[in-house]
Amino acid sequence: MRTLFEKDLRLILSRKSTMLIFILIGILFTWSFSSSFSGAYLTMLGTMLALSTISFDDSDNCMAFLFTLPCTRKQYVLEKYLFVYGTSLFAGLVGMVIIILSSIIKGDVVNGTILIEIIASEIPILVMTGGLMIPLQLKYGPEKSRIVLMSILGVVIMAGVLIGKSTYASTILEQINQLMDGITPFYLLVALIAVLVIITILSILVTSKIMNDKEF
Amino acid sequence: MITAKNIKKRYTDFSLDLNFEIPKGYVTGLIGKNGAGKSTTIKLILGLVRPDEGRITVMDCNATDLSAKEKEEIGVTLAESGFSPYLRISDIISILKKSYLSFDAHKFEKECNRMHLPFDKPVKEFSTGMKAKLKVLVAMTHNAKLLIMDEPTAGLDVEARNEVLDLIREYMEEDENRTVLITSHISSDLESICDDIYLIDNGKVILHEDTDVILGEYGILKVDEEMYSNIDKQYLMKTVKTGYGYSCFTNQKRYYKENYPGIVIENAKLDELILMLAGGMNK
Repeated sequence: MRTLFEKDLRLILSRKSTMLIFILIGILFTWSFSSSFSGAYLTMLGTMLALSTISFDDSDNCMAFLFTLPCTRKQYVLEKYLFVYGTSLFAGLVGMVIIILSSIIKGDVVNGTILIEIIASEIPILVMTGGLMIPLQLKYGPEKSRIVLMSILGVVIMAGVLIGKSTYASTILEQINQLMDGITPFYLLVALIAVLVIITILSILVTSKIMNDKEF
Repeated sequence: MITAKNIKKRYTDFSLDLNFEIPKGYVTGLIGKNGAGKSTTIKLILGLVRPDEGRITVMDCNATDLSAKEKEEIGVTLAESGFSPYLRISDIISILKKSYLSFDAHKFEKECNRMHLPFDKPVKEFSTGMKAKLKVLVAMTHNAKLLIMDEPTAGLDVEARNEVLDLIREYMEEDENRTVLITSHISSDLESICDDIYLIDNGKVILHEDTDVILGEYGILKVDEEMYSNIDKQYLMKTVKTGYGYSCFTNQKRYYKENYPGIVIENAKLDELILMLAGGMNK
């Protein structure tokens, strides 16, 4: 697995100038508009950057050679999740540092609750994005996977609109609100973590199947 | 070292049906026309493609279940695949250090310098020859017991080809127990380094012979109509009608030399072997 981590790290570092531009944009926007902007922004960019290593592996048929190096398909799958989640979290942390520094320089009070809220909103985003995009990219490649992702989002939005228009929508929302009111924040957090773990496990299982069936 | 038993792999327009064995310490060549199945065979051995039937074992392990530890013992060059072209040699050295316990970074750097391969340029900016040399160096600098090389000399000029072939020779001389499987469409490359040759055509092994036997015993008889009707045909493997008469491929050229004085016999090289056995007219 060390081979794969080193390879992905080197691939990301080969785009140092792109990363620097992203960080500068994050700093600029955080300074000018929103104190919490760079957290979500850099987490998303970290996820995209880490996911781009799949495109690198896929281009020029590099994956065939990759699997002649000392690594297995199973290790590739695990490494990809660890790398995408790890890079996203690291990028999110860089974003947090920018937010804290920006607040200190501006003379604002650093609000710990807001920082925790930002982290709590970033992690589901990165798990959802990584969990969906890793299997899609490995199955369909970088180009087709974007189309498939857009189609999935389209279906989800359309379903949301249709449900919203139905007569039962308000009743359902009311029931959800009642349910949420009865749950303490602690249990809500536990439920959220459980959902994210389940999404990740399901995604890993799907990706493992895709990689096992893949021929190069 | 490598054993393939009753291997079958079917595609919509092509199927492979193979049996072969590559012993430890041998340099084995795989030859055949384009599309004969050489690269698919290499991919099957490396577990990159799964057989529909049969079993391939590499170093006593199922090819599709090779672990990372077992892969450390194998050095590979693939014709149409390698490290990402966005990486530099300096990146590749770091990756190889993490990949192979026995990676000889000093030797790798020394050979890169000798072959004028730049360390800080992305591989995508390399010439075809530079890319080919890099692939060979990557395969040969971690003390692999088994080298599998698919077209390692493709796209190289004569000088670069000789350099690469010398590297392979040196590699074998360092340790006689090392095994090499090599494919090439340039047959003269294989004649000079291989102990034995497998000829593949339409996904099947149609000949397996020691290189010395091919070069020493195989030949092409050039005969006119009259002589063709008189000669013993039991040792003719294939006959092709030509402008002057017939070209007859034999694996017993000494027999014809002794029994038909004056007969024109050309020595067979691997190119002729491919042309005669994987093409031409049936006997």
